[in-house]
Amino acid sequence: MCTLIAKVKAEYRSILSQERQILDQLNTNGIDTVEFNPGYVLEDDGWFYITDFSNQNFFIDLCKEDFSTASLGQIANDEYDEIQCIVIFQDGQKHFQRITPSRFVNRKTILDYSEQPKIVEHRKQLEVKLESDAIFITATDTLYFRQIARIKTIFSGIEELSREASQHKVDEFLGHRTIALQEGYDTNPVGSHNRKRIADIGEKFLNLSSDKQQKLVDYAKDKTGINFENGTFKIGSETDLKNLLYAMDQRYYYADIYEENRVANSVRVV
Amino acid sequence: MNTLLRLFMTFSSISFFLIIFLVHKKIDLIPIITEKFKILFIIYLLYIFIPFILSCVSIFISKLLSTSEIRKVTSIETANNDFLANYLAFFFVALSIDDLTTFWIVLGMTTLFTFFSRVSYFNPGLLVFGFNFYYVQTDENVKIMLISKRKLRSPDTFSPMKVRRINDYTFMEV
Repeated sequence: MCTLIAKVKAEYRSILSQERQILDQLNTNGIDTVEFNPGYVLEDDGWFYITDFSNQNFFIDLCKEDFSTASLGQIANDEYDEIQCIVIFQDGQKHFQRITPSRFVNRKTILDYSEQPKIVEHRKQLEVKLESDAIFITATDTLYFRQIARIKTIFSGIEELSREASQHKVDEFLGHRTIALQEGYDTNPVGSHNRKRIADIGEKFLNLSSDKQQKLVDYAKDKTGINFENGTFKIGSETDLKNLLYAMDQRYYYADIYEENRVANSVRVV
Repeated sequence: MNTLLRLFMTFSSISFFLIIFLVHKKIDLIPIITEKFKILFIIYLLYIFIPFILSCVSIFISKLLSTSEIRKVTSIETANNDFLANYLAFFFVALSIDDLTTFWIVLGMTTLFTFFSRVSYFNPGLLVFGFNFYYVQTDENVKIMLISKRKLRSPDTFSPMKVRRINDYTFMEV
């Protein structure tokens, strides 16, 4: 049996149930999966996963194996406009899809050619996409997803996993003795991507011994080409900062067979 | 659609009220039968069958309602006795009414109130067909009324069931 549920404001509501499946099941053997890592950039067909999901802070009751859909009230007709996400329970998988205004078909004018061609307006319909934003598999207690940003309203607190560094952390990192900011670039405009990199790589760097930090500084000096004077890197742009952070994560390498110097924009531990 | 089904189930559950009044006042709705057989008793017998036929139809139409699941409960309470007391009160009211106008007003109000309350689905006819009425609390702390043929005793031995949604607080296993 397949059940469709929607989140309206803070509460979930029951919509319908039917014997036929609404979506294709996620085949975990047929996709490329990577354990979630905020610094990793997914391939087009890649999915992140989080294991032991039921013990995470952002676990929601709806994912409990024993969740009774009878506990939910039936959605009222005037509540459809306020749907934030839909959830589909089918055969041990729970599919989550965020709903944005563009998913409401009633805001579109459509040519219906199923019979005599006609223009259809104001039909109250909501599009269910073929691919869900997140899928929870009860049997393995694993959540699969592609973008944290799309599911943070569903699993509140999950965004902590790819958090941006706070201003305090940014200041602390940029205040490191080997970093000097150039005029015209200061800590305030540090962009969201670099804040995430500071939260991940920057903190990793600051926790290293001073000996290892020095080795990374030498490595960065050698690989990045950032202006280095009087023992400090002269950071004048977001790109400089990104390159420095990449170097601190040892992402520059030499591919000896191809004889190329390279930088990896995404890494994972294998 | 759903409102019509609910209205039908409400009417079916209070149809005993109507029947008792008809029998009490010796009202004959189908005089042809009485004229032919010369016994009023046959009409009464027909009357008594009506609520049970309506109950049967109720069970059938509840299969058209949407399905939900109850997987785990934290408490189970039987509700048969609670409702039977309310029901007997209906019987006495039906017996004490003298004129037709009062009867229709009382019947109308009873229908209205039962329709908007959860009691509306307590249909004694269903007891005869083997259904039991329970209050159960789901694992999500929601108290609902469950109409089922199963004998439920303890939350520990409760096995997941598919139920039909009569309203947000009343579910029936058919």
